[in-house]
Amino acid sequence: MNLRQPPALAVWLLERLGLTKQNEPLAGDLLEEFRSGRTAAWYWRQAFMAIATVLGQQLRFYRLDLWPLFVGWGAETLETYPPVWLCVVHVPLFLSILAWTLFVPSALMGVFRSPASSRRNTGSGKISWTFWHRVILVLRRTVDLFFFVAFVALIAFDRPSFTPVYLTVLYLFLILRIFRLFFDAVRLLRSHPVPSVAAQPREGDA
Amino acid sequence: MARGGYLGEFELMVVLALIRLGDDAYGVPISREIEKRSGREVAIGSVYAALERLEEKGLVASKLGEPTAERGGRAKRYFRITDDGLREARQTQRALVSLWRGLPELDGGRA
Repeated sequence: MNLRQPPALAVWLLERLGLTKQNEPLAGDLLEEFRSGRTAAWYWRQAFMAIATVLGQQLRFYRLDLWPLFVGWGAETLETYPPVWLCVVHVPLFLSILAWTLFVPSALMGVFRSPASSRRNTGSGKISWTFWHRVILVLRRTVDLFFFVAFVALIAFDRPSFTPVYLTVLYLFLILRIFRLFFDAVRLLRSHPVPSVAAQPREGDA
Repeated sequence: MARGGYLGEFELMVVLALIRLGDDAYGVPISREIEKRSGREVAIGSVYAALERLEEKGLVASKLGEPTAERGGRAKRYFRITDDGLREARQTQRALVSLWRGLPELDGGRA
């Protein structure tokens, strides 16, 4: 019997991302084919195709649950391009209100935080736009994290058929969000609401 | 006519491969049969996805075999076509043949 082994990383990825209850024998099929003379490149292609297929199936199945995530990511993206979010009309009312409530103040501050306005505020004794922008950002990240935790909990408890692999991916995203919130919070705490004298622009700065 | 309507191209290929293979149909021979007939590499994962859809529609039935050492202890899943599946394949064949018939552009290999 030919007992050559397929690429370990491809097997690892396939077993974690490409197998479901329905297609579990796929791993055995790929191994059988590989041992009958297929190349490692063939195995990699098959593993990637299997993963892509399963991901596509899961996305189609869970598309309603993913709405809040898409809205969150969309809001993040649109905030960067303020004129674009004027065109956003097809979002459910609640999410729309939530997204606008959260990111509009942040976006407006981003728009008006021009170099000129920053300089005007700097040294005037008022709290800087940058500081408020960071406050809003941290608030937004906190709410975002809250909804993401709710989403993960919903998936974990309400949909037990969701494979552990995808839960792991969600947890990784969760960790990423926690890290992002932590980073922004630290940045906020280290920034000074009232700019220090050292940060004031020198005379003659246009 | 079955609930799902006509079969898609790849689903039809899978169904025809199943009919050809009879009782020995599982992932490997099904994909080999499609590769042999179509001349294109087939992703076995896509074959399983199509079989899953067909099974949901009641056109295909499956059962698990015994795990074997040469497959790393994994069992085979054997598939067979159901009566509804056969009926659906005939329906699709009739529709395609009817559409095909009388098209001079497709007669005799003319471009």
